[in-house]
Amino acid sequence: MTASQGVEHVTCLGCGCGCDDVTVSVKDGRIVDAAPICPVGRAWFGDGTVPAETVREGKPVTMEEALNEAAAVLVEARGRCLVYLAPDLSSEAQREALAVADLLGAAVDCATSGTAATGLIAAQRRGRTASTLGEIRNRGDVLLFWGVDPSDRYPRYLSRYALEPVGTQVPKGRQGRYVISVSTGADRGLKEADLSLELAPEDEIPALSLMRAAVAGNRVGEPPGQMGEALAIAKRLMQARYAVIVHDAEPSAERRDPLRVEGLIALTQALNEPTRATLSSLRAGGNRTGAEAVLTWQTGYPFAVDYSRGHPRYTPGERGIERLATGAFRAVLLAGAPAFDGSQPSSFSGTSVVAVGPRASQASFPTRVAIDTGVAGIHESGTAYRMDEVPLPLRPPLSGQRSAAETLNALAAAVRTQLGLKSR
Amino acid sequence: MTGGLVAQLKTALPERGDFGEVLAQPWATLSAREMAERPVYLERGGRVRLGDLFDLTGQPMGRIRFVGDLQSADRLGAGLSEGEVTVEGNVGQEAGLALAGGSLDIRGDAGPRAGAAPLGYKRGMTGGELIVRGSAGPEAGAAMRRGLLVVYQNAGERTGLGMIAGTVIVFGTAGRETGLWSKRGSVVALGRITPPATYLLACTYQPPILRLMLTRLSTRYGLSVQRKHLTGSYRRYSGDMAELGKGEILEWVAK
Amino acid sequence: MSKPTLRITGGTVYDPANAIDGQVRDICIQDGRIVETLPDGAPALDARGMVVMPGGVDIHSHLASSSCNHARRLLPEEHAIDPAPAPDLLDQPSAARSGTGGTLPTTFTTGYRYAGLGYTTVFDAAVAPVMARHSHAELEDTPCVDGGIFVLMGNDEYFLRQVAAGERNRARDYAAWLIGSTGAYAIKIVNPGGVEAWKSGQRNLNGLDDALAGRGVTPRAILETLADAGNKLGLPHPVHIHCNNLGLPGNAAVTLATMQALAGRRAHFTHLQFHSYGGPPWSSGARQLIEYVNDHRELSVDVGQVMFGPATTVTADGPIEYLLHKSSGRKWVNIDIELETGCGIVPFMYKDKAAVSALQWAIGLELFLLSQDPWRVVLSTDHPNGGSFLSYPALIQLLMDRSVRDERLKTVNPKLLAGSPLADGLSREYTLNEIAIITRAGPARLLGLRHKGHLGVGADADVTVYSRDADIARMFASPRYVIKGGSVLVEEGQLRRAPRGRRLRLQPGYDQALLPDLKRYFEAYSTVSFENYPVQGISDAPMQLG
Repeated sequence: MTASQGVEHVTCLGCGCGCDDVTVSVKDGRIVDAAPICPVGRAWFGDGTVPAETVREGKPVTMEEALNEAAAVLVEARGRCLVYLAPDLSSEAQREALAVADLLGAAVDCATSGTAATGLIAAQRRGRTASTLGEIRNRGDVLLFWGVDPSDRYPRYLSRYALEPVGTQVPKGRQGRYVISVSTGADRGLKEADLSLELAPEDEIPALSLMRAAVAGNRVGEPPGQMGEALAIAKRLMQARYAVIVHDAEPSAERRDPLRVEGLIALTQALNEPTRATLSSLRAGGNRTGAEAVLTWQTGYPFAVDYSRGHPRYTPGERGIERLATGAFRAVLLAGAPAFDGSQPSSFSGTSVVAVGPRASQASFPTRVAIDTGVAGIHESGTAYRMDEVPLPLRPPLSGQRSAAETLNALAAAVRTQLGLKSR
Repeated sequence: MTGGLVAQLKTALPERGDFGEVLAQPWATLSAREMAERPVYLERGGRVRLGDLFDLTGQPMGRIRFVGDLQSADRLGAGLSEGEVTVEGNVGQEAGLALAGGSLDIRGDAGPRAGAAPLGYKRGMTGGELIVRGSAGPEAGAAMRRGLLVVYQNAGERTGLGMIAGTVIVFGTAGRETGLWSKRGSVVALGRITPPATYLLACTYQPPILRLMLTRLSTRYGLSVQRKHLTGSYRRYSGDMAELGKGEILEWVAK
Repeated sequence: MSKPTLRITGGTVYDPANAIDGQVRDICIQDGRIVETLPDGAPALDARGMVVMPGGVDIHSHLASSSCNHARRLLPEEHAIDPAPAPDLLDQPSAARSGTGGTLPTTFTTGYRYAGLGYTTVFDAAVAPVMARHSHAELEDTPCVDGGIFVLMGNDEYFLRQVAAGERNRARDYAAWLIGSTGAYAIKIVNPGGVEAWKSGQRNLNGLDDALAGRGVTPRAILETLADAGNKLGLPHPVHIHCNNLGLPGNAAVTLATMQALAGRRAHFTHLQFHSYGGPPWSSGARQLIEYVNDHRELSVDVGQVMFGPATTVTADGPIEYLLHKSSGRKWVNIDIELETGCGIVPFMYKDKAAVSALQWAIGLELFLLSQDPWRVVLSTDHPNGGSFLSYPALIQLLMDRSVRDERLKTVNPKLLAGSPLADGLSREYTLNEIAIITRAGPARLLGLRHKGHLGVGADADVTVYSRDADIARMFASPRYVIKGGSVLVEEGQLRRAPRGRRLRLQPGYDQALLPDLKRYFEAYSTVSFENYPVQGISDAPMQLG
């Protein structure tokens, strides 16, 4: 038995908070403890053990055999491929996966299209006023939680960023912050707030519209029912020095009004006339925000990209992983573990699957080729993006697992070679 | 409408198809053979020629008529900038997306987002006329900047969402929150409508321009317009106060 | 990628740094550098009748940053109408990548298009320190050009605290640490103090001696401290300054005051056009500013020319973008960046029929045409703020061909051009030698890049070869050959190779006594650990100082 060793300043990707102050204790190649840590982070790290297999139709093969078979499957389906970027990849690995997609004329999908898509589309229509999390910590004096209590899915958000910490402009910490909570239907706001409001889902958009009209100084009629309180909230936000509106960009059980985020974006923008205001969009774990960043700098679009016409095309209305069921694709490259964000496709309808990523060999669906790799931030170094798009370095506490970035790079080379041979 | 090209669907569309590139480039002078080369992208089949799916006949006269069930044809007439396009039947989603000019006359129902802006774009229709003689799905005419959208039967929820300018006329019932977040422009409701909470009743009057517009619709497209709509009074609501408040909803009221 | 020896023979060479002005001579290349001679029979590139210049050097662009990426994401409309299929490169199997364009092209496309224009060195002039890791990742995906980043200072909390406390030495040590930690090449100041004012509710600082509420820190103190820091650290490029009041009528006064405040210190004033407005109401303030620059050798500028057409304004200057959003009604992004700076984005269209756009266009040209020392006046459009870098050839034509310029002038809105020197008539036409200075030799010298911007022995073999053409814009838009580090990227006008570019960065020394205090500050206020803040693993080693 060896003594446990601590690895400091580890970045946790359990949720989008990207806490990078974690000390992970490792003993005999397993994670035995982590601190400071929340339940979501603890589940993310687990004990750090992952399989390390390389299989073709379930049977062990060499890496070279696996890569050649994978490349053959994908090249054969050129123009009819889907490349799926799961969240548990470093941005370096995501870049390699996109190189493969470009070569194959593939459609590209990621966790975003099934989760935060409506918000990204709204931000393309209107722009947005946002900030990095540190600005909320250092300046936010009026915090509005719209249909979310971060303590459930983002446990350290309140202690690290929004509520409790002392900031440069908020020397009293929690005492220096006024908290407003709005609940809409099943989307509950913060439990302890200085001011609370309950909205029926059908009243949400009207409320956001009335609040914005009031902030803009436009005349509004006699507000019905709850709306009077909504206007009071708008007034309180206008009195803020630095207002922060927090919402959950990830889906919940409740079917939300697709215009919620656009309503929040527009309200926040309008608040920048009387004062300063920012919108904080809570994002879930892994490096899903990084996938959006990499997709944007390589294609111009943050999700739902299609290379099949020889260049990137934006297809935000069509979710690739759902098009699988229609038989639109002959082959799929799953980069990372899709189950991570519940994006497990319902049916592959006879599509050949190449899986490269953590636990690929344990996929619950049949694969032509599966290559296990380590998990970004646990076994693999590189870069991951926090929910506010701040890039953070990954300091893996464990080592010895195959790198997803290197494996995907080798796959890209194999695909290139086979395409090159074809073209001669 | 007689003359011009006719595109007759050979057999039922095998699967959903993206028709977004068929009329996006100038087409009015194309022969039937040239038009047959325009691309359609099928969900599984990939790129095919329009001529692979349709029999194209007739002479170029700045007109084309599509005949057949185009329920699964998406983005038909997207980016249209010239000519007269008629569709005999229903169409899929995003028909006349970002229409720029000319006219698209759909003699059936239109799916979601007819004449809307592409997702993520700030501006939708910049001109032209989109006529839906049946009912239209949600968000028809979203972010319209200029031009005319007519829905002869019922319009879906949030028709004219975020209109920047232009005109929407709904003969039937206008869906929930029609006109929401409009900056400028007019929504004319001959049937039932409930203006969003951020519209204010301004007055009731008889807008002379409306009589002219409706009369023109009946002459230009042969849409039958009831006399009561020509002579009746209209409630004018101004909004959306969440935006500029320079838009209006005109609701017909019986005298 | 092989780097063959190559002799470029018989071209007419413009190499101002070596006083070669249109002489016919051979250029010899070996192992990526310019050499004196090559053995007979070395591979030759026949450049007879063609114009040979060093590769272009862009001293001020926005191409690889989190702000650029926010702007890319904002513009699906632009990308959709400018698809960029993968170029047909020679290396097979090819690593060529497709992308999209518009005013903010994707990274690979940006590299390809810069190379296609004959530019081989580009700097991103505005990177928030905490986002530097992102910029370096984008640069890794931006082939063909060597490049680096300027790190944003002058609104950062730790720095402002040092200025307030009169700790100028610690401020200098912090600047050195920040440059090293972010892999930067120079210090960039944007709207000194004004961005912090915007974030703290004071909205903006308009005068050089307006103080930040509760701090007493003024733009003057910020500018003096950072200019001294840059010079004392011996940075090859002095502080790169974006003045207060960008884009506002009457701002020429604060710009002139800023130049005077620096009293003899080396400094570079960027996109001067945006800071050269008289009034209010609007008028040209170009003459007084460029004449001051003419008389002060320690100062240099890039113009930030406005070119008519679509642009996207992207800047750390948050307050001005809010005003632009309100006045234009265009979509607006604002990102406040913790403890450091801001980011504002508004797409914009410069119309020749719009009075202010026409004045901005005229002022830029006046700055070029009234300058007396081309070595200190660099060609830029502040890409993509004044227009895309793809408009450089059209700009060069306006400078070289008076008839084209005068014809264009007749078509623009004259409303605000009363008293404009350009409207009164400027006959100057730039020579090819002067163009070679303002697009290559000058910026390379101002950046302190000894191996760039010239074709002397030992220089990087970055060479652009143009076919002569009566249409100057066409000539500069499509070089016949572009060679970088000895590799032929463009052959017969086609991009055929796209090697990775090198990072140009520095790591100045500083007093380690800084670190304990800085660590305490990080632990108190930063959401990123002190230990995770510095960018690690940048492929190329820092360049030597001095």
